[in-house]
Amino acid sequence: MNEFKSASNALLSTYIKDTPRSLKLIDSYMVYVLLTGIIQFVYVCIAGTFPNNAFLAGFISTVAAFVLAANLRMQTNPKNASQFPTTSPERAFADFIACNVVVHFAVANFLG
Amino acid sequence: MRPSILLSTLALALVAQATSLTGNRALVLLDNLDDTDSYMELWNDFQSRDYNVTIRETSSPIALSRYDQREFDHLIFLSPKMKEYPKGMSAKAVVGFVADGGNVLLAASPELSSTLRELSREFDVEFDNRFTTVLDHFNYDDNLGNKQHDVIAVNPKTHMAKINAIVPQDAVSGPVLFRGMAHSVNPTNSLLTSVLWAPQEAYSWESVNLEEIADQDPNVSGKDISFVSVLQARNNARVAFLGSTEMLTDKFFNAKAKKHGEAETVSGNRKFIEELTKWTFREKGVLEVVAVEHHKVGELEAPAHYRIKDNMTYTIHLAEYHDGEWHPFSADDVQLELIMLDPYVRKTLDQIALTEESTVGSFSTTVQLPDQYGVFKFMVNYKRPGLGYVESVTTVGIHPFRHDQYPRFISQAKPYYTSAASMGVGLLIFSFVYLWGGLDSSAKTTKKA
Repeated sequence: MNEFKSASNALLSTYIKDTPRSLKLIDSYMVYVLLTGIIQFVYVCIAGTFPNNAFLAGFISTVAAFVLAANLRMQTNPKNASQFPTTSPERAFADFIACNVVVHFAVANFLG
Repeated sequence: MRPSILLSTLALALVAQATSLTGNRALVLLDNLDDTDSYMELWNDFQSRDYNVTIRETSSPIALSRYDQREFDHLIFLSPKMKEYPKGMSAKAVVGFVADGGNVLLAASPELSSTLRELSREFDVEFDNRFTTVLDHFNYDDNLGNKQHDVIAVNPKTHMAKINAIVPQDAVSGPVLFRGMAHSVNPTNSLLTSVLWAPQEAYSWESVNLEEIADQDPNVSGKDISFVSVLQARNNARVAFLGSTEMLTDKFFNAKAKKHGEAETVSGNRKFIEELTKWTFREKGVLEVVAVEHHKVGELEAPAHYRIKDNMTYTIHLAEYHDGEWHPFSADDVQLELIMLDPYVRKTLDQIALTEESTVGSFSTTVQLPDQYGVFKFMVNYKRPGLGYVESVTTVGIHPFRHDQYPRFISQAKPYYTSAASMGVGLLIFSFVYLWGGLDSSAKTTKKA
């Protein structure tokens, strides 16, 4: 138990110390999206799937936002720079915004 | 083409004049023209009902139809001994005559020939063996059947079908006298109905050696013996089978009926035969669909199509023909079915109360359409013994909701709306914070080369 505690403490302190600020920001955004998705899933288990299209729209919007944020994080992470030699962080962010706009159009259409 | 249209118009005009809906041309077949005198009362009865009766011997040639048009509307077999069809006639021609809408009345006697027996078989009616007759030692008529107990007094209250459309219960006061042959009807044939049947004690036995003891089981006995039965074909043509030619004679019409051990009354034959022939010749019990209406609740016109789960009202107007006129029809068992392969809804229609001015009986109900789209049939399939068949089919399309007809802003879905909105707002906030706070430092770290 103590080992687990010290390991997690080490993980946390390393994360705080070594992770760039922009990635921390993306991470907090992803946590927010993840929580929203979980709340909706719990709600659909309790309340039933009646407006099924609305549930799918709401849930898929969180999934899509999560996936797109994950992509942004991968492409802007300095450690992955060698894998994305032609993608600058600005370009990655522009892609992220463009994809999000498309997703939100689809979601708004499907929400009913 | 034109002459045939003319002919059918003429035929329609004839139908309009006669009391029978089919027409007034009746053909009677007799074994021998000498028998004509035995049925004078029957001819008079037909005459008073505007029938144009043609009486022929079976030995003379007869054409039932000419140029594909029926020559007669009603065919009456009073010729039980007929061994061969008259020239120009055949079993096929008689069946074709019925298929063409003609009505047939067939009376048998113990001398019934195999020709007519086979014809009856075409209609699922089986007469007993030749030279058999129905005997009853308890219910015989004291005047006519005293010696051989072969004239049976049938009580119409207990041994006649309770179908007012054919023979009303109160129309026949006295017992119906019967001397003749037994027949049985196929109970699984829903087109056939037994109208008059034998008392429990009756049995069918050979009429040639009545003096001998009946030492074998009879082929048919008790209530299985039908005296009179009727068939209504799917085209509403009617066929009647009588086991006795004698019950139509003047002798039986005018007889004093005295069932053994009971008081003497007048025979009910005349009234019974009158009602039976009225039914057989389509003078009554004929139903017609006058109109069908259907519309959404709150509207008056039938829409081009319905939408699933619509509330709609269906009304059918039915008229019944009797006594030379159309009258409003009354019933409490008319049902509506909404069918797409299977019935999705089946509901009994309520009759709208009749008033003095009513010319038709109106049956109506309000139903909610099923949650299923497709091409549906609104069907009234009303088939009851003694009444003409009603089969009314209205085909309608039932559409699903249009995309903008679904309910919106459902309270149950509010968490999903909130979530989708929060994703948008979250994205905006994230973008602002990222662009004016996060990207700079990361840009420095990723800037290379």
